[in-house]
Amino acid sequence: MVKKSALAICFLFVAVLLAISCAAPTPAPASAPAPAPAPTSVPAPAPKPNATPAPTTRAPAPVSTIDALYQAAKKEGAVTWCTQAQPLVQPLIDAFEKKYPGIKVSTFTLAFNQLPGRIITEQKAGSLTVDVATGTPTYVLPLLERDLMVGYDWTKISDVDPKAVVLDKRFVVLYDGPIVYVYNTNMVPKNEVPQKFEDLLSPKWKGRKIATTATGYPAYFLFQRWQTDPERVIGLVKRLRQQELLVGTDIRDLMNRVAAGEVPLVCGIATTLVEMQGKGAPVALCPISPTFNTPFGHYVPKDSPHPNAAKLLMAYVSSKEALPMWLAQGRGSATPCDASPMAKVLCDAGVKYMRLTTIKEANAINNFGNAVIAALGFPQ
Amino acid sequence: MRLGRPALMDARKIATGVAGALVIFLVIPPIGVLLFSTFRATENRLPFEATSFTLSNFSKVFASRVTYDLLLNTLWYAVGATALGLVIATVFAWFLERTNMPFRRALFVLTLLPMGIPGLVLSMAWILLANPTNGVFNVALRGLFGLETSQGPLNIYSVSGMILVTATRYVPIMYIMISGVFSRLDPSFEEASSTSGAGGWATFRHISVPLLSPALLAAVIYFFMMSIEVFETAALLGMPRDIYVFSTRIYYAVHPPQGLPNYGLASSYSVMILIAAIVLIYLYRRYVRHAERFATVTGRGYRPRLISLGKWRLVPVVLILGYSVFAIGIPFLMLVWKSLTLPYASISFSALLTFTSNNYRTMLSYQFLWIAARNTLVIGGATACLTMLLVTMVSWLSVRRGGLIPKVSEYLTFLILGVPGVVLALALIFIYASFPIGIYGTIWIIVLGLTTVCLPFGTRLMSAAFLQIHRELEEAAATSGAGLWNTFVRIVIPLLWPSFTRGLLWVFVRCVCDATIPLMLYAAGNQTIAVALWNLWNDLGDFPLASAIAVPLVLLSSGLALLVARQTMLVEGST
Repeated sequence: MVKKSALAICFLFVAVLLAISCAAPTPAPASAPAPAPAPTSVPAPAPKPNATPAPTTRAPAPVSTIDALYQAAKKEGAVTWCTQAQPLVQPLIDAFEKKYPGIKVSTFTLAFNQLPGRIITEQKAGSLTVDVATGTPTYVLPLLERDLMVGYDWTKISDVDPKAVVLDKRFVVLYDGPIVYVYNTNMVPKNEVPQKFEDLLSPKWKGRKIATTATGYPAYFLFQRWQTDPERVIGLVKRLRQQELLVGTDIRDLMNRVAAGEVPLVCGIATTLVEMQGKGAPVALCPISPTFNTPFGHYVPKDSPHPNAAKLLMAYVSSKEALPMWLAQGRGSATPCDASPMAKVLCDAGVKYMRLTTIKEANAINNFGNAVIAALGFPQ
Repeated sequence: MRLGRPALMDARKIATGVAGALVIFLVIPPIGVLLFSTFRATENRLPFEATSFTLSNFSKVFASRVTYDLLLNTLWYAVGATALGLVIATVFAWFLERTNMPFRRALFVLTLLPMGIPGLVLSMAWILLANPTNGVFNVALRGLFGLETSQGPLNIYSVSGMILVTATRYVPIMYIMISGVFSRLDPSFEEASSTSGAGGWATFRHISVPLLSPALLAAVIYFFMMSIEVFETAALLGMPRDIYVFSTRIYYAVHPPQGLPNYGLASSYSVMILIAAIVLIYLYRRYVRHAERFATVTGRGYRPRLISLGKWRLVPVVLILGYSVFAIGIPFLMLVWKSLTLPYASISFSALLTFTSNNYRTMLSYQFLWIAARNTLVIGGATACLTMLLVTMVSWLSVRRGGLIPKVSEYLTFLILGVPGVVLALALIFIYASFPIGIYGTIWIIVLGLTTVCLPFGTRLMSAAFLQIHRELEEAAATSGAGLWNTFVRIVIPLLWPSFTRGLLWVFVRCVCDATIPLMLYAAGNQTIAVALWNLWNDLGDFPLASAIAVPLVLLSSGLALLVARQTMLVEGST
């Protein structure tokens, strides 16, 4: 009977699927974690606009240290990197595997605000699957509070700029993501482009003309002023709320909508702006300043399954050798002006920014962000 | 040796135990985590970290005026989407399953097409079409009527827009839930009504609808709960106008701009949804408690026949084509357009000259997409088979046997609708990371998660289908000596074949398109196509590439729908 044979096919299908899945790649087995060095605290300097000077030239790390690390990592055989979409990082993976044969890099992607919870849960269960993770300092604060990040002198095994090693040596900054306002050049004449934050409060920008995510980003430009006059700043933010912002869940989606001509202005990220300009999008930078730089970088969670391979991968992706590959993806430092196409765009517009380097600063910006979110009436 | 009644009762007890155990295994942990989280102080703490039990989550939710605004918005949205979807699905089901309208199989496929488009992509397509500033429809209407305005006349960012997109997206689900019972309706009831002098509409109202009411009611309550839970449409079309509903509020609780997800707050909102689910399933079970009232397939035998529409044969064709063009054809064409154009190209005739296959070549060149495709097929197939076999067994035992375990199992499978995907994923992560039985980080944990979320649909579908079949058919088999397994395979499944295969189809397509559970359980090596699409969209912002991935997904689900149509639809002259 047709129905009976179809049911039999169904069961056979399940059996075949089971057989196929046995050939599917499985996560690399966990190995005993190496003990992490004790973290040291560093006094936090006050944030200053464009405080980061040009990177210094460093001597290459001693070969014997990297060699020893490589040999240990080869025994582990694999490393798992939680990072951005694979096409972005594939050149780095290919180069790493070519330079260090015998170590297979697997990747997966998880939203920055979901990853710390996942790491904490897996740590608690004793089954951490992440060796190296991408994030921003504000999102890793829960891990710092629980002492779940490896602190290490990364300059020993990499020619990374020492100033890129932040948060008590637990986080290595790879590229910058300054928060900026972006406008559609077909919709906004040059003489109407907002030049300062208060220009956004003009009636001409009222009525879903400014797009933003439900975060503190739209008002990050007021962070310095908030430290001296919080009441006035919150007043300004409440006036911004009255402009009837167009709220979305994803910065990139909103920036695409500006490029598509749906909305004239968006609070976005400079890296995405430069990337979109490269693809011919009619978008440009509003010179509202000072802004805030969200540095993106990497860290190694404690008790990662492949600790030596994790350190080796961190060292490589932070190195000068990896820099051109990041630049090719539109990721780079925002300073000095010739560091990257994004840095040039910021310099040409005269935009200054603050960069977060310490735990104290990360907490401060988080507190400010919460106050802004409340003032803008976003869900909390 | 003939299998006697005592052996049959033992077999049923075993089946009840196994089905019940599986359901409890799948459903209790997420519900447990949800209820546990509700009473934990989870601000910047995960539920198992929080140091104290508290009622503060409840007071934040129930004492806040915002909650009641959310409730109103959510009810308005869910009731509207359900009503619109029900009307469309019922009309289509009646025409496609019961009449001799032409091109039935092709139109069946068209009706199911929206299933294959991921919610994110479909909502984005509608934004491109109907956003008030430069949506394609608005630009065309302004030009056509000479309107001197820069906004409108249409505005997709509204509750009406949310209702329209949600209803049209979920018409296939409702159709699947009710079409199986339509096709098995014994025409003698309607013939008796016509013979007694009742017209077509009176027959439909007083005969057909009551007989179909379990299926209609099952579809209504399932779809109502789905509308409360659906996120992408509510977020993309509601938030730009500050229209928040429960799903968007829960999203922000577990996707905060900084700090850890607040599972306690999210769970407290979800408790309200859970209570709604309990009330609805209780009312449903009260309504259908005398199952024999709804049985139309009996031992008497009947010959299903198609109702002749005479000269009106083309009317439903026009109706369904019109719906398909509007609800799916135009958005699908938008996806095809975007997949062939350059990034940021405007929608214009001149853009035709810049058409390129780059996005498809890029898609084909990505190795990780092939791995994701393989994972998706395995996950989809395994989940579909596991879900439908389990829900068929649970529904069969619940409708036929009754008793505490089957009834509780049926309740539990529906309650899972009240658990947000992120809470379900947290439960799975914690359990399977703590008990290393080798599935954490593999595709099998995703199969478990997706099976769990598909249980409500499956039990509603199969329970309604079982109510249509009189128990005398199975009792006749048992009297003739057939064991439980033989009865199930040779009597029950063939009678339920339309509903069963359509359920398989829907579960498979859902697994292909769903991103929520696979995203939360994502690890190296178990990526699915929906996750790849989401990550490409999020990290690369590449809507043309995302469209290039969505187009084959739609074509795949169309092919599967055609297969199911060939298997399950009556053709004229057949029985």
